[in-house]
Amino acid sequence: MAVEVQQRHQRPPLWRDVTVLKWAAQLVVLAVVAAILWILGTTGAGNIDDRGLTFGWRWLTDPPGISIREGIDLLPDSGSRAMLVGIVNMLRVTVSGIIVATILGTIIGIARLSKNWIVNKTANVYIETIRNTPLLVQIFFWAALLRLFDEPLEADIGVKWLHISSKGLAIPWIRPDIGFWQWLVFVVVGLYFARVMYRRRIRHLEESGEEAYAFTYAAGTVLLFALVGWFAHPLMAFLGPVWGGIASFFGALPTWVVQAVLAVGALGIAGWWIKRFLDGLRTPAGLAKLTDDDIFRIVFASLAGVIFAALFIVQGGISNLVLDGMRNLFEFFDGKFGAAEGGLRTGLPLRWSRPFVEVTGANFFQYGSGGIVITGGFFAIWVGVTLYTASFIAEVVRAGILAVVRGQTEAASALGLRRSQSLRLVILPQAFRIILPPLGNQYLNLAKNTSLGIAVSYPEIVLVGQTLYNQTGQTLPVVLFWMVFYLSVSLILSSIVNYYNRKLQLVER
Amino acid sequence: MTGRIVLPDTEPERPPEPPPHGPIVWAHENLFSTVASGILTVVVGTLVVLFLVGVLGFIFGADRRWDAVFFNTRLMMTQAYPEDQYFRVWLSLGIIVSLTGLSLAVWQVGGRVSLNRITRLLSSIGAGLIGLEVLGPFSIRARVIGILIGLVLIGGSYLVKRAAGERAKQETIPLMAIVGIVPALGVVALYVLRIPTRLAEDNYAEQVLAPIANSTRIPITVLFVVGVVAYSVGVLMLDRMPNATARVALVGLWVLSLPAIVLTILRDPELDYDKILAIPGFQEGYLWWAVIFAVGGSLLITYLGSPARGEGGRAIGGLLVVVALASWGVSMLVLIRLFLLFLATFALAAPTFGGGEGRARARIVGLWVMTVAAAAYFVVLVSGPSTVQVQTTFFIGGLFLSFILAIFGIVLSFPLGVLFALGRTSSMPIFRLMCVAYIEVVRGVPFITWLLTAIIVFPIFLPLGVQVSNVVAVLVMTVLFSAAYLAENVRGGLQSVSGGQIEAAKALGMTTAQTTVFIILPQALRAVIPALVGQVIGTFKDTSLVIIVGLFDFLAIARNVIPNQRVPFNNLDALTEPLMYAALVYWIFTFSFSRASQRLEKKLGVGER
Repeated sequence: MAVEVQQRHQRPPLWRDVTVLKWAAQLVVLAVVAAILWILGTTGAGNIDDRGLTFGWRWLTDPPGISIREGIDLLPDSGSRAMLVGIVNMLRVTVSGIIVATILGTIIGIARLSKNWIVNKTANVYIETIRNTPLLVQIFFWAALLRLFDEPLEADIGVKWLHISSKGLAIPWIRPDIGFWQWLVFVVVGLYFARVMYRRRIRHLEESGEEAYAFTYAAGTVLLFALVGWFAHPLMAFLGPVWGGIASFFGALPTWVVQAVLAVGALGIAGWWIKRFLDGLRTPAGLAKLTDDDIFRIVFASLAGVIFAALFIVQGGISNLVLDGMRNLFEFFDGKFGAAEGGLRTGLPLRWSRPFVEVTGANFFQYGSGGIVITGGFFAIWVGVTLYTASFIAEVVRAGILAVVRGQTEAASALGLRRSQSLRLVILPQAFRIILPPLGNQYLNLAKNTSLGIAVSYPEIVLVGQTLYNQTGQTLPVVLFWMVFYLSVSLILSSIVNYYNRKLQLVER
Repeated sequence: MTGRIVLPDTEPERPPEPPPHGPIVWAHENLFSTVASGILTVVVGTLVVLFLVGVLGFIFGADRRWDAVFFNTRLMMTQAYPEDQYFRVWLSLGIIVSLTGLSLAVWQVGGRVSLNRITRLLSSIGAGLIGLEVLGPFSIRARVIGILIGLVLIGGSYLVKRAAGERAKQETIPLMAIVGIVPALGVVALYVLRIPTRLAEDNYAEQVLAPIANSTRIPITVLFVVGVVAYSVGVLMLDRMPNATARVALVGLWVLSLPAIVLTILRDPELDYDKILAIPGFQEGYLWWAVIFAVGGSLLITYLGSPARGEGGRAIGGLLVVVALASWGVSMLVLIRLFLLFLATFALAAPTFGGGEGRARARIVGLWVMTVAAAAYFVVLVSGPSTVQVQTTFFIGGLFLSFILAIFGIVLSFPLGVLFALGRTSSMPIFRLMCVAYIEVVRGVPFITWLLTAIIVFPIFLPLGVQVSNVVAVLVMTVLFSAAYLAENVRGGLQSVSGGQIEAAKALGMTTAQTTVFIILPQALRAVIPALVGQVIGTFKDTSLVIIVGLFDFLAIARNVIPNQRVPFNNLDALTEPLMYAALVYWIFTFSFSRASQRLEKKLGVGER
């Protein structure tokens, strides 16, 4: 019987074979999409030619002829430098925003679950107000609010602790001083030892069951190193020549070596990924049968590896860029260690700095270089983005806490833990696992929302890019630059979140 | 013989003692349950009071310029839509209001609520009013009146509740009757309330009392009446005709009304038949092409849909797709290209959905004729000039533009998003890769970057001579952007459909296309309705970004136009007021939407089944 059945089972004709049809349909659609893109591309190229425009990357190295309102370099000497200023400005908002929004969001999320009526309602009103208003309206509002204050006047001249005017918010700040980088080495080493200390204390806790004060010990270690480094940082002066050596090593390295390393690296990553993929499919009974899908993935991965390797070899510019970047980085370090102008670098690592109002030109009052001045643009975008994201994080935190099984709370209170203890030791650690993926999403949204800085003239990457293409006419390359930048930010943030997510998930089992 | 069980004499069972209640018990439980909680109450309470005093002092302060908002209401709603054509705006609103009224009745939105809830709502409104009067910077007279009204509300609702007794807990009052009171009060306020304002000739803060909305109270009253009448008609309709028919008819009316409002009523004022025929398109033979395609297409679809065709029908459909795509490379009327594309879609769908019984085929042919007619009509309207004369490139702005962008963005992105979601969950790797690439690239880059791209890069890729207005470019970008987010939401729904459903469909002999359309999508979409409402809210909020590319939407008027006005008043220092007003309007829409979505979620029981 079985033999008979097998004999009857013939392959269907080609035009009714599902596998063939599926691949044919996919290839046809792929061809159509490619054709559409090609038509668009040729039309675009034709249009660019007709209008006398050019498409190129010269603007990255040419002097841009623009000035930037705030940032690490107000008069950048090249387009890439200008974009870098924009990127740093964007990261300033993103990083500080993420930190504050996380803290604020967690507090509000917990308050939203409080049994205290007034706390609960306040949190609720905050969330419903902020979340249901467009972010741009809020950003405009904060900018408009600051403009209601007066300009700095003659009466304001002098050193201040805090000063608000229509030009911004001036607050005292801690600035790195001459010995900062040498001192930083101590802090970094201290952080490493703090990690070691933290693990030892945790192990001690697990073995003996005594209270181990792991966090206190770790913090103490960092503080100790920072304190010793405060006075002993000139000891690190020897690192200066070391960095200098590395910099000259990169300077002497021929381009082809970097090209080869990058190409081999690209191929190696592709090979490693394929090997890992196949390992994942391997069962005790041997390699499982590969589906169309698996084969496609393997082909795609190897193709991507080969394309990148070829790109690195053909485009020597990429390797040069890497080489220059490394050399510049270590030259920068070299300049920060060892001998300063007046002999050995012995000054303080950090300096306390207070803002002041000064007069420049004819009756033009403005903030001097002391303290830190939160400009109107930064204030609006930072406050707007942070409060907005905090309201979403609060909802994420609330949902995460509610998702922890009720029995956990009850068990904690049965053990005699206080409410704050059970929250800190039992609920939050478990809720964190559920919270993490949506929290990562909110971080991504925050990073993307900083692009609204363009609306209040905060020079982040979009505004700088816009200024650049208005100046040079290179719209398409600037747009591509934006896309690559934001996609990289998304990729980096989501891989960090995924990494921790996987780590936490493993703990669970 | 039959024994009777005699129950021992017992006291009649008493209901359990109600827990103690009252304001003191409540305060003890909710504000001062522990020492820490008590401290928290005092601290947070003080902060909240200080904050409210500050905010109310700011909002009602003497130097706030709220008249800048009141005098520009029309500008904020429709920008510079010509005064003499304004009945078109009211007509559009009338259509929307009557359709809304009908829909509310036909879908039986609301249900019933108890008297208890209403009295509770009224007394919290009263308490809120008293709080407002106490904390805000008001005159003694205003405070006394406000507090008295608040006390009357609280006392009245308490008395009503006492009088109703146990009946107050029964859910007897239709919610829509209560909701209807709010606009009714608004209409009454138009006739009764007067607000301080300034005379146009006099710039020196001359305060006089003028009625709110002098010029619009008649149309608004009419709109309210229309809404009430539509709701009543809907209720009557519910008794007279099958519910499903009414719902299908209403959905059809909604879909048709949106382009009709924007393209016919608002954009092209000449509703004269001669004028429409005089539009150049018709001299080029639009009408004849439409007739040819309607007749020829119907014949073709009938032919392809016949079960005798078998695989041949699909092959012809595939051929038509190639022809339709190729038509974009040859110069011809855009209308014909559109027709070919529609025809190819219908031809491909005909064997699957129009096969078998005659009624299914008749339905698909009817749909085809309607599609041709609507497409021809709207293409003619779009290619004709608008006789509404405005200074800006687009004929309407303000809140109307925000709504047009949001609604069209959502509606048009829906099919695209579903398609991308299906592609992303498909078993075919190239489709999946393309969809993943599209979705991730679009989602990885902020909307504002895409908008700038639309404005500056679209023109580069269009053939010479083809120009797209900024509004259309922004709308296309909104659709493409929204589709990527929608795809992710729909994907969640697709993954929630259990594999057993698909296997059962396969066992019944359904094709993949039939399984997807009849089995998977209905379940998947139902599961993600709350997420989709969330996306509608998001898209509406996102439309505010078009200010950055220079469109005159609601926010642009509030932020860029009003603070630059010098005539009739000097509004240069009115910065925060229009923004706060804009925030309030956006908030009202998004908040009510999210509340509606929560109700819907409960009604559908998402996550419970």
